Amino acid sequence: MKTKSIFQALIMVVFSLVLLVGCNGNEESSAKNGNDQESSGDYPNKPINIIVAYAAGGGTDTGARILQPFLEEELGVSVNIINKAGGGGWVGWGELANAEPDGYTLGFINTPNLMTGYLNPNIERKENLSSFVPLANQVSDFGAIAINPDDDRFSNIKELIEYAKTHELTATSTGVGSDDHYASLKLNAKYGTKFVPVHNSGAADSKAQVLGGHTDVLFANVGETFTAHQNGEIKILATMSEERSEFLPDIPTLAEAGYPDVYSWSARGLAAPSGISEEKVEILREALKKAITNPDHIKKMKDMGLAVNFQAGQAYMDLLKSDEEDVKELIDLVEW
Amino acid sequence: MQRIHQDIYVSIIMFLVSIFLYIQTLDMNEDAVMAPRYLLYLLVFFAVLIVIGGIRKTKKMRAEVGDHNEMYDGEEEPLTGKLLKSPMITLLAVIAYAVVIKFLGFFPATVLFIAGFLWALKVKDWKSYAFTIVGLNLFIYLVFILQLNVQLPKGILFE
Amino acid sequence: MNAELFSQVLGNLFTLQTILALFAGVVGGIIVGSLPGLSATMAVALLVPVTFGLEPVAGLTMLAAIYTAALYGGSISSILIHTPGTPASAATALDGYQMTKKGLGAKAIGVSTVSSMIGGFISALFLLFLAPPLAKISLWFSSPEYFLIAIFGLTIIGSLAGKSMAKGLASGVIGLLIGTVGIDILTGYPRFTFGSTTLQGGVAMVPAMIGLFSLSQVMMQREPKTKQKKLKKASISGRVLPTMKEFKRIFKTIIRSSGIGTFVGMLPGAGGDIGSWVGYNEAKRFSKNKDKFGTGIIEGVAAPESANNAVTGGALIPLLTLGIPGSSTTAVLLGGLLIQGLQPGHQLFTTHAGVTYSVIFGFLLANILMGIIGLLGAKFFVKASSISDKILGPIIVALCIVGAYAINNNFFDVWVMVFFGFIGYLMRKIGFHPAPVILGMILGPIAEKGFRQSLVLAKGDLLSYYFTRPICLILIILILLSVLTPMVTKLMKKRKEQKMNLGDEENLA
Repeated sequence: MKTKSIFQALIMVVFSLVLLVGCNGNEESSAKNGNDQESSGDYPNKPINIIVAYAAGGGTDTGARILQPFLEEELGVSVNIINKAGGGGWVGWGELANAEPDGYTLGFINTPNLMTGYLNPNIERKENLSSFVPLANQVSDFGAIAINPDDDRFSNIKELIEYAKTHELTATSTGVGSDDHYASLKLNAKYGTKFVPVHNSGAADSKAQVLGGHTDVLFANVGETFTAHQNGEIKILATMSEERSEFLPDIPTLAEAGYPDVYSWSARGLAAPSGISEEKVEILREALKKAITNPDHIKKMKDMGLAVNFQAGQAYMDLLKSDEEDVKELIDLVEW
Repeated sequence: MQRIHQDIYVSIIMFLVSIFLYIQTLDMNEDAVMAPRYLLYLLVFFAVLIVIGGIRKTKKMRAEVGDHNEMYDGEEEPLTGKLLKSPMITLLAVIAYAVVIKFLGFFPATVLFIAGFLWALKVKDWKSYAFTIVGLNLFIYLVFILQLNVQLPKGILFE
Repeated sequence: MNAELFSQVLGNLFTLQTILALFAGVVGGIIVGSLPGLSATMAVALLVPVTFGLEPVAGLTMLAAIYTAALYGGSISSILIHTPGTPASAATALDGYQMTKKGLGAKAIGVSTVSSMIGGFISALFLLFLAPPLAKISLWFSSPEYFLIAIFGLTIIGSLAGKSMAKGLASGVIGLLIGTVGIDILTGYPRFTFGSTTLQGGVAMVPAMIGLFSLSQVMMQREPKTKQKKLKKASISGRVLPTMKEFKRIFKTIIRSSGIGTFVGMLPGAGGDIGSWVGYNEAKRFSKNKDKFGTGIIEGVAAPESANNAVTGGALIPLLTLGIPGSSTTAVLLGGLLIQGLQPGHQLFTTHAGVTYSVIFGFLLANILMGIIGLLGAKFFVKASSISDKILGPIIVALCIVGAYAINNNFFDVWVMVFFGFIGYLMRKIGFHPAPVILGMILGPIAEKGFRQSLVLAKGDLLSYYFTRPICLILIILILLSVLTPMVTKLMKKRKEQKMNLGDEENLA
């Protein structure tokens, strides 16, 4: 009798799930239609798993899930996003580096966190950049420096930097060795400012601290701050990019303001484990190029405040190498 | 009969664990080590309190004063082989289940585990086996695999 | 809100798509919530892409419905099988499972459903009417306040401990120590990781909780049964709805917890897991029969349940007004908003007022619908869980394993779960309690980060930094009160007893 009732329970549950599946259906069908046709050669002929080294719902995950349908369309097989969070990204990256290089396991890598992870002298990690074959960059999110609009000590970037040369100012960061942390360290090193990092676990906490007037200066990325800037809750003073951000055409870059030596960004793109064959890399790069530069993809990313920056091949490698150099250069500045 | 209240053993284990963890903190950075160290001091402090309580309870036990149940609170019980046997076998079964998942994958291992568990508890009714095994696997398949796209371990034999 | 907007809201809400989405969200949320290892955050994250294709109102209502329903769903398994579906429902297990043991499982579910519904509903009202001013208040809180809130939360351990205060507090310290495992974000230094990459991110909360509560429970059920230990079966015929008298008894608790939950949810650094514990503790503090807490009384279920559902509305306040998520689930919801082209801030309440208010009303409806479905399903949940524990045991174990694995897709977490099951079982047998361990794991990192951040923010002068912040002062007073009150009442009680004894003696003489 009792097993019967649990069986009934299961049927109820299944029934309600069908409702959910119904909502899900239209999205999945696009992937499955593509299954019949195959790309040149035999690859790919089964689903590809993409490891996201952060929890579902984070920035990297959102970007991955926006890219997913576009990539499925190009590759003709379904693409699964698998979140392997933990260890500051290294649970996922470690698994990616050690995965079979058969082209069916790819992953997102984030700079500079990836480099910080293997250059951190306190953790002896065997992986490094050569454990991965970079495929293509999806997003580059440049750094921004912002303040609380009610702050009357400074109102533009020049005043802020000059003020910081003589006064200690607290500056937000998203952890030791994060791009935000490096940005303030670089300013300290190059221009003698006295920014003191306050490490948070995420950009949302950083933003709340500056909005509430608890921390002096917000170091974050454009994608994380421009909405609040538009709402007038914070005031972005400068971006740490080479050119002005398309989201903030009125905001000068640090270089324009007279501080040309400090750039900061966080970039994320896809990589495969080292050892993958050259032909597969070509197929993947071609598909990624089409998917990432698809105007619909660019627009969806833009709605999220993320600037698509497609780079592949040598250009992407150069980008990663320069990030690695930056991290190495600053490694002594960090109080590990 | 020289009986000792188990709280004394408990506090000895607490001391040992604290010392072990304290050794781990020796080569840590000064800022990072602050919180764990103070917590370890606290743990040792409570271990001392527990040992004092344990000695008191031991004396009481030897004096055979009052009801023994007073010595144990709520779910607390003297740990005896008889008490621990089945729970520990259960734990071993769970560990074996996890190891088998690694080899055979989640679903086959689950079938084996449930069947084994029911058999060990002398469940005879075949319907219980069928409904539990089919129902649970189906449920997990529908919710986790179909709906939430979780990739449960496939097991190295099938990869 | 004017009449025109109101009719627009009604038009938005009562479409077939929205109603279906609402229903699917509530049912799906309850299921996801009741399964250990499946969190509201995960469900929302996985459904955000699905909402691409839906109307903004339907999509966002569904996400909000999942959020509140999942927090409610967690209580069902927490009450019936001592397996909290989410960390926010761990507090519910204390009295909820005791009620089940007494054969009052159906009543416990009923109380939890009513409390969750009211908690969610009240927080939705706050969201509807007071969002902008409340959001401003939430910004007054920063590192020093978070540190003190965490300390305040830790004072709960004192009231969770059984006879042995030392063991209760030691359990809390163990939880705090576990909370220090991983790479310290302030220095990048690994602590107690023993070379494991997974542990660098800390001990995963959910697998540890599943082990401590559920696996240890399964192990306990396999103990040789002595006569006194035999449990009553959860009664199937039991009444679900609380009686009017009972409802009056818990009404104040529900209202208080709803306020606490909304407030805690509003703070960006604190979520449902903390809200439910604070709600539980305050209910106990204000109660006349404190000793009954933990033995299976309805206040002990009502308090954490109304608080954790009230967190949902609270957490949406800073999200919608400032774009700052008040909990991890709302962080994911932010993505859902942006994808629909809705940027948090003033425009949500002006330009997009139609959509925003429709979603808030949808959220209100979701809470009511959740209540109805919960009450209708209560007997059914109890029935499902009242099968023999010979059969329930392996089912729970399988769900524990799949839940521990699914939270991060990492098999290491299965071992974490098994390890904590073992530790949890032994701890329970030697008079330690798993609840303070969980509490320590939740609050430890918040306390440590808050304290060390405020060291930086204070720029050298820590004491005057704390004492010049009004909220800090209030919190310090609250902490002192919560530590000192039990001591003082104990003293008073002793005096009273002495007096009575004296009186007795006089009578005898």
